[in-house]
Amino acid sequence: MTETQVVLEYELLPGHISELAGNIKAMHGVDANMCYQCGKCTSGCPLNEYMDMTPTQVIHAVRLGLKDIVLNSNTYWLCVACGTCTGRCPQDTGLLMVMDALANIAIKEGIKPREPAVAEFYRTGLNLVKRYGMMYEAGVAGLLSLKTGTLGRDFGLGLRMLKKGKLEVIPHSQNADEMKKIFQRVAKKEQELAGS
Amino acid sequence: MKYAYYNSCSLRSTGREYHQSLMRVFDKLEIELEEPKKWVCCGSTLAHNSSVLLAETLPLKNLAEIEKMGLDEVVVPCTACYNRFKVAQYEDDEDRRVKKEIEEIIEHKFEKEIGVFHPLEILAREDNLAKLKSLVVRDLSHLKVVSYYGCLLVRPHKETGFLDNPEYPMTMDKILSAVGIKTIDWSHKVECCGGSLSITRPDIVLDLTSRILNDARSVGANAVAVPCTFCQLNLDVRQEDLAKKGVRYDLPIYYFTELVALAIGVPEKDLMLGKHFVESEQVLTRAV
Repeated sequence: MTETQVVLEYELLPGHISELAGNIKAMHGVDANMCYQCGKCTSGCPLNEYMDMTPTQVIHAVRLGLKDIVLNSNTYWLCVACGTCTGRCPQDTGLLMVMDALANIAIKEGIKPREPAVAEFYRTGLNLVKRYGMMYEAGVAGLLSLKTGTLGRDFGLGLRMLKKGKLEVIPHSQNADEMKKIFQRVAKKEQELAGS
Repeated sequence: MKYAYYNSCSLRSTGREYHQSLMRVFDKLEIELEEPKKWVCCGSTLAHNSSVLLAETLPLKNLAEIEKMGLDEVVVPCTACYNRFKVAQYEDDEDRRVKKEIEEIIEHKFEKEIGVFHPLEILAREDNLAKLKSLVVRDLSHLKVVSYYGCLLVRPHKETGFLDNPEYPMTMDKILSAVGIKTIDWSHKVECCGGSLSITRPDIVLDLTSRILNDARSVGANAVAVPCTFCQLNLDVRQEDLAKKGVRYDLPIYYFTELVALAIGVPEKDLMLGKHFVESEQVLTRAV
């Protein structure tokens, strides 16, 4: 080894766990190191052909601690949480939770999402849920189309939905005050947990 | 028999016909349902991406409301809600510390675990199946239905614990057969339709839905039965876009509760079949 080389995190030693895998384990209780790269998750994943990195590659990269590569992929944004990977994993690795953890980390660290519309959908949707206590479909669809510039594309679908009476134009409020309180308390608790 | 009933966001808007038909079926079975008044959204697709703690708190808040009603079992028709309820319960069983934190947030201490059931699990109970059989008045044996379960109900099975095989479930097939509707063997029972990408990546969703519809068509189905509002909407509304690309399916997508309701004599006018995008009334009338 020359002087300029640093010991890379992914030069795995027995018992070694990368910082990223360690964080995910602490946050979500899933152990990426259990993965033995059989590829069963990827072979069953309905979205894998649209992803930059296959689920198998993602979990391997998590083990190696290749945080930048993983967080800058579109994989965890395209994951629809169908659970095929996790349901079929012979090692109980919990890839579904790894995907959630990556989105959680990316949001916290302000990583620019590779699927901006998807990230925006979750953000806008969750804000509306916080505000009204329940989902407001017409609102999320409208706001999203405006924010992502897809109004032209989505207009036809929106109109069809309205004609069938499938969308409520005006939002309903459902226990909204209590919902806001819950959001605040969760945020506070998360800060406490992060500090502890 | 009385259950709590989590009548959630999608059942009040895009999936209103699911709620309507389900109420009719439960009425006929003389099962009483009561909604918690102080329910909130369970956070389904939205919360787990940004905060795992929030994703677990919202379902437990709802279960706390059910415990306060003095009930210990809840029927959850939306598969996304069902999934989140089950996952939250599972996670909290695994991690007592998180459970304690959440109990503090929602200011409720759980005395016992609330039983969370999808209507499929309830209707598939032996006594209910027998009762359904005895109620059949309309012959729908000409229908050739594929039962499409989607993903959220069956996976991850360790967490949801759905009372069936996660790779090849038969619950819906059993219920439909009990009311005289023929279901066909096919291979896309639990393939994902891409529901949550519906308005963000419609290109992908069109690919995924067409695969499911192709398989349904190739086994000769003339209708699809679903237990999920996202699946229903996705498979239904996307057929028009697929037709524009030159592939016509004309496959009506029914909630399984609509088919059961029709078979046990609920009049068509009491259901909301007109809300489906693909015409779904003609196929019910047997060709003479």
